[in-house]
Parts: sequence; C-alpha cells; structure tokens
Amino acid sequence: MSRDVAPPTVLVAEDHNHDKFILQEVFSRAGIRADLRFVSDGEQMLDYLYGRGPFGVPGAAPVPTLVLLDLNMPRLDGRKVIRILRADESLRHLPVIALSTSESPKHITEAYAIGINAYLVKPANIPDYVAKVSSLWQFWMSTASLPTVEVRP
Amino acid sequence: MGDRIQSNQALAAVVDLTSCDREPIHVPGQIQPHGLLLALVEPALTPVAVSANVEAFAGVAPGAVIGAPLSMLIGEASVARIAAVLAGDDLAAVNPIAVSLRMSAGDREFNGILHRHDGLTFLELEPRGEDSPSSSFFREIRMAIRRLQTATDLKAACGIAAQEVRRITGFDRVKIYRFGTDWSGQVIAEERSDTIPSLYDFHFPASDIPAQSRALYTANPVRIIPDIGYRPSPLVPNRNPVTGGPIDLSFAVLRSVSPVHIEYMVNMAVYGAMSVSIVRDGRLWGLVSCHNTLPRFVPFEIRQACELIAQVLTWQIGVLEEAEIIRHSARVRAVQQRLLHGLGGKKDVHAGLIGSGDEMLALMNATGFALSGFEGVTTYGQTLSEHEISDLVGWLACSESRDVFETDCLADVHPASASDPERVSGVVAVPLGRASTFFMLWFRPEVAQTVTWGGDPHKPVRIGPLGGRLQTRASFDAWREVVRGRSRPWQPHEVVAAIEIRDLVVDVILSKAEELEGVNRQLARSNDELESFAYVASHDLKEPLRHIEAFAGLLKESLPADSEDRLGAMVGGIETSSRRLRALINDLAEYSRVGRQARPLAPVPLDEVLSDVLVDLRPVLEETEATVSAVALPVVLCDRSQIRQVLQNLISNALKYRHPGRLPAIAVRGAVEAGAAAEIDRGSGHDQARRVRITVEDNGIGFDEKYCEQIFEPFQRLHGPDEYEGTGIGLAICRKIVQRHGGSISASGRAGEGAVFTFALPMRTLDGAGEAVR
Repeated sequence: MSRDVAPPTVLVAEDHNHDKFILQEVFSRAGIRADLRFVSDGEQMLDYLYGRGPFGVPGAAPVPTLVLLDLNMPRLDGRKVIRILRADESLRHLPVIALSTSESPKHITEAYAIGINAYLVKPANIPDYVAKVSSLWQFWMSTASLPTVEVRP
Repeated sequence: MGDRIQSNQALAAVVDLTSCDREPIHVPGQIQPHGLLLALVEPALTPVAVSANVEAFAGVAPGAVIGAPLSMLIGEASVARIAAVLAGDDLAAVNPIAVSLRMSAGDREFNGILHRHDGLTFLELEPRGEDSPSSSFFREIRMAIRRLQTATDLKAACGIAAQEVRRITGFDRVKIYRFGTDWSGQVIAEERSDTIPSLYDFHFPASDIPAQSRALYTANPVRIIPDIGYRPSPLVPNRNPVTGGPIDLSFAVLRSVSPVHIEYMVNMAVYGAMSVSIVRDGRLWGLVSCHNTLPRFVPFEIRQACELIAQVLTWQIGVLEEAEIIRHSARVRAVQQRLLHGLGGKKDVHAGLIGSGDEMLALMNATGFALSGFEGVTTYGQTLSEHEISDLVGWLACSESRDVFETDCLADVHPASASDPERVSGVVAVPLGRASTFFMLWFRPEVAQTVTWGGDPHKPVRIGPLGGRLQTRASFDAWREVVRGRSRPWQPHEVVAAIEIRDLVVDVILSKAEELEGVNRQLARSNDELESFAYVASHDLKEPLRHIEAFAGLLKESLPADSEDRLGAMVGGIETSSRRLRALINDLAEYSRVGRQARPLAPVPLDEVLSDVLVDLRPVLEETEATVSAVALPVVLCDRSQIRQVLQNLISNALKYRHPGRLPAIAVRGAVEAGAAAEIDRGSGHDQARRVRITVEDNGIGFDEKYCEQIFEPFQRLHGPDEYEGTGIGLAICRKIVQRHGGSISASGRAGEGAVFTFALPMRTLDGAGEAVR
C-alpha cells in the first residue's frame, strides 16, 4: 500500500458521537490510513450508498471498501439495513462488519444469519480496541481478497 | 287386650308396654258405663247391638232391644229428630241431640251423640249437663280464644290453653303434652290445683302412648274417662252384622279403655281423665290432657268447647312456629351481619368465628362449636375432644355425601367419636369446601342430661297388678333409656341456619382469597417490572460507562510519558471507578436475571455440583492452599446451574474471607431434616415437612453475628472495597436462588473464628421434576 494510492473508504454507521470519536482515535492509534465516512443511522447509510440527498453531489459518497455497522441505531436499525443491502444486487457484495456492545451469543448468531461478514464487540478498553481494529484491518485489507469495487458513474 | 287381661297375675310379670302396640283397643267389646250405646241399622234404625247396661238404665234386657223398634227405648219425638239428623249431611255438626230415654223411673233427657262407622249408625247417650250452655259460657269461650290469640310464643299459648281448659272443665290438672319426632312426649305446659303433683317438663317414652292409641287420638280428638274405677259394660252382641267382625268403637265416645292405661292412671292417683287432641296437618302434635283425683264427668258441650280451644291452639301453634322460624331466621341474619362485619375486618376467619362463639351457639341452640381447618381444630363450649373431632371430620371427608351431616345420635353413625354421649350426642357438621377437611361443627349434649326427674323421690310408689312399669317415674326412666345417647333433634330451620352461616363464611374466605390473589398478582407484576427494569437499566448504563472507560483509556495513552504522576493517578481513578461501576452493573444484571430465567427442576447430585465448582475454583484453591471436605451431599430437585452458583458463591466467599493466620478449611455438609413444626409452611401443598439442609462452614475471619441478616441484602458489604474486592451481590444472589427454590438461607459466624452458611431446600418428590422455579 503506497502513499500515492487513495486510502480505502470505510463507511461507518454509528449513531453516537462518542463512538465516532473513539473509533477515529482507535483507527489513528492503530496507524491505519483510511477514509472514514460516518453516517448516523440506517436511512443516511442507504442515502450514502444510493447517492441520494446530500450524497448526490459528485465525490460526496465514495464507494466504501468496508462497511462498519452499529446494529443498534435509531430509525432504520442495522439489521434492517443489512437485509436491504443483501437484497440489492449492486450492493450485496459489500463486506459488512457489525459493531455491537452485546456479547450475547443469540445476538451474534442472529447477526450472522442476516448476512454480516464479521461481528466485532466494541471493547471498553482502548489498547484492546486498538488491537482488535488493527487485526481486523490486517485481515480485510491484506489477508482477504475483496470484491472488485465498481466506481459508480 | 280385654280378653288377654283375664289373668292379671300372669300378665303382670311380663307387662311390656310395647305389647300395647298390638292391643286391639278400637274393638274392646265394651263401653264405659256412664252412658248407653246402641248400634243401629238404617233406615229403620233397628238396634243390632246394645250395651248391657241398658238394663240398668231402662230396665230392659239387652236381648229385648235387639231387633226391636228404637221407639221401644226412646221417645217418638227423639226418634224423629234422630231420623231427621241422619237425613242431613253433617252429623258431627249437630251433635249432641236431645234424646229422651224411656227409663224405668220415667223419661229422662240425655245427650244423644250420633256417628256412622263400618255400616252401622251409633247412638250414644250421655248424661246431660245441669244446664244448657248459657250465653255467659259462650262469652267465656270467646274470651279464652281471644286470650289464646294474644300469646306471643308457643309456651305462652300452651299455658293459656291449659288455663282455659281447666277453667271450663274444673279438672285438677290440665297439661299440654307434646309429641317429639320420635313420638316420645313432654309436658310443655301445665295448670293444676295444689292437690295434685306437677308433671311439668316430664318426659315419656313413645311406648307410653302406642301407635294405635295415637291413631285413635288423631281420628277421634276428644276422649273422656269420667271414672277410672268403672266397671265396663259389654256390647250385646259384640258383632257387626255388616262386617261380620267385632264392633269397631274407634269413634265412640264411650269406648272402654285399655286396662294398661287404667292402671297407669290409678298409679298416678288419677280417677277422672279427659284428653283433646292437637292435630296439625293430619299429624298428632300433642294432647290437652286433663286429670282429676276424683271421678269427673264433663258434658259433651263443654268437651266441644275444649275441642274448640284445642283447635284454636292448633292454629296458634302454626302461626307461632312460623313466627318462631321467622324470628330465628331474622336472628340468623343479624348474626350473619355481625359475623360478616367481624370476619371482614379480621385476617383470620378462625379467630373471627370463635370470637363470635356465643352467637354461633345461640343460633343453633347448641352447647358447643368447633372449626376444623388449616390451623387444626378450634373448639368453643362443650364439644367432642379435638382428637374425636379430627377423627369425625376425617370420616366425613371420606363419606359419599359431601353436604350437611346431621345426627342426634352420634354413637349410631360414628361410634368412634362418641366416647362421651352425655357431653355430645348431637352433631351438625357443615363442610366449608368440597374437597377439604374444613368443617364447622355444632354439638348438643344427650337430651336426658338436660332433663332431670322432677317428681318427688320420697313419694310412696303404688304398684298395681300389672307391675312397677306403669309409673310416671318408670316412664321417665324408660324414656331416659330410649333417649340415651340422643340429643334434642336438629330442627330443619336450624340446619338451614348452619348452611347459611357456612355460605357466609365461604364467601368471606373466598373474598379474602381473591384479595390475596390480587395482591399476589400485583406483587408478581411489580417484581417482574422491577427485574426487567434492573436488567434494562444495567444494559443502558453500560453504554456511557463504556465511553468513560474508552475516554479514560485514550486520555491515559495521550499523557506524555514524562507527565506528572498526579494526572496519571486521576486517569487511574477514572479507570478503577469505571471498573467498579461495571462490576456493580454486571452484578445487578445477574441478580435480576435470577428471577427472569426459569429452568425446569431436575434431580441433581450435589456432590457432582460441588466437584464442578471446585474445578472452576482450582486456581484460587491452589493459591490459598485451601482444603474442601464434603459429607453426605444428597440429590436434590433443583435448577442445577443456579444451585451451582450458590455453592460457588459460598465457597468463593469462604476463600476470599480466609483468615490470614491459617490455611482455609471449608466443610460442605448435607443433612435431611425432619421439619420442625415452626418451619412447616402451611398451605403450600408441598411436602415441606422434610427439607435438605446444606451447610458451608469455614475457618475464615467470620463476621459479627449482628450482621447475619444484612449480609444477604444486595450490595451490602461488611468491608471496604480496598480491603476486599466485590460488590456485595454474591450472597444476595444466593438468597434469591434459594428462595426461588422454596428454601431459606441463613448465616452465623463469629468474628475471627469463621462463618457457617446454611441453606435448606424443600425435599420435593420427584413428581415435581419439570416444574420451573420462578
């Protein structure tokens, strides 16, 4: 990965400003170069992905390489968003990583069942969080082969 | 009995009044000689039989009368009058008829009394009264009737009737004799002169007035024996040509009396007697019975007046008995109101009922009252023993009929509970529920115990040829013998009252149960709400906490390596406080979860559970060099993971609070305890009598005994967080789990010596498997 190449875009759906801040800090402390784009709920996320409203402006919504999705969001919550993504041919290939505070096996199983690609429990402890995000990034950006991202016309 | 009585001596030895039942007293073949009896055949009115005393009256041989025209004996005008009366409808209404008898000493006016029976027409001639009834006599009768109608109760009415009859007839003693349901009799009112002893309240066995006498009393309401010492006059011939049998004198006023009856009278020193029947709804209710120490004749008209008085008394009895029932039911209602009021306010129906004991007794005219229920047997007044009541109730609960049980002779139906019939012979038992042994019971003593012999014990007893039995004293003794083990019978309206009280009590109990159920439901609801609130709250509390922890972490890593220790300490303070808050929230969530998860109970061997716990705790056990011993751990029906948590918490505690000066030694013991009475939770239905008790004993630092309750409260700690880690939820969770299993937990200890934690679980049968703890 060279500095000339534009950093991969990561779309983060997260309703809480504290969590956005913390996630940004964690990415930064993990030394990850990524273009973090934040949306606050499921509807905004769909607007982003479909280039609607404020995201209709060219360059306002680069196609994400990864989606980080808080499962519990106001209005359209993460689970519904995943269902919509997975039903749409143009979006169903997007890797989606669920962010959650719940460690409940039931919640985890359910999330995989509706089509997430990974489940990440937000750690409370910063070093843990940094370590987790580093290894996550390592896996998705280096270990795994990602689908080809079509640049939207 | 007329024929059989020929040999008095022979009969005297075997006189048994029950033989009177078979004595054909309606066909004695003879009459009392103060009058004359003719049996005639209509339409010619030809005599077919005549009493032998016709000779004494008219100087004519009986044989000469038979077949001869009636006018041979009786004046033509009288015969014409008789024929006219016979042509009419109602013979009884026209009696008596003035009849002149051709006597040797010239014609004499008699009262002629006509009746038809068995195909014959009977003409009886009785002496007339001195004067014909005057207007003042009728006024007296009217007054007597009016007085009777003023009576407000049965006793008073009978008293007035006795007074009036005595006033009209002049008998020495007039008593009102009342039949019981068993046909025994009791003198319930009496009016007498001083010259004759009282028979008031005397009791007589049913055999004293046998069935066929009662039948005659019912059919022919007025009976007179003017002279007990009479010589009977036989009928000539004693043959009814229509039936071919002896002449039936059932309706004859002159009918001769059974010798047994005569001897009874003589033994009482009674020489003149009269009785008027009190017949209610076709049943012989009682008698107005008149006695005289000397022979006494009462003319027909006066007897009719007495019959009228008896008739009015009969109506009055009907009215008064009805009124008595109405009064009784009004009293029942009043008592019910008071009970309802009393019971409504009281938590304990038992206490409420027993507290109204006097009223319960008064209502039922009982001497004892008992309740059998959850709290065992509670008694009030004169009752069976508690043991006998339990036994009786057990028997009743098994009996087919589940409704009211009523007896006046307990020894007959359930001798096992009738050890002391003098105290209790009569029982009414009303079940409070269909399937329970809850009963309300009322008791009455043996009736003989309530009555004593009222006669003069020193009075010389005159014994007649028929033996000693024909005495009032002997009657009394015979009656006592018959009623031995019997109480006064329960009246239908009394039984109804008992049922009404039962219904009321059941209503009160049901409404209390409903109330309780409502409270329970509400409690359960608010408990549920509280638990889900705690769960949700703990969940929502975690989010800001996580942020605090994250920011503290970011802050800490942002601190330059050479920054002041003070800043690091502050950030460290945020971190430790957050950790502690997280632990508290987690424990709160866990505590609330204990009530939210319901898993089926299963038989679990506790020694296995203990092994699992020891495996989990191995690191700390090894670190502390603790020893754990286990003795006699049973299999219990429980939620395995919850009981495991209890053991784990208790053993962790024992390790955590180990004594610094010695190696921890923990003993876990099991025992099956036979439930002490105090520990039996009545009404839960479970076999709570036996419980499994588990003790966890350590040699740690112990605690002050005064905290033995407090330590089970959530978040209660005896030590600061710096001394020992933990939130203080562990024992609270233990208590909650044990309570959800229907058990209890307690702690004892001594500071510096060690602590003992004991939890007891109900010993459920394996049938309970599959039932969930909630």
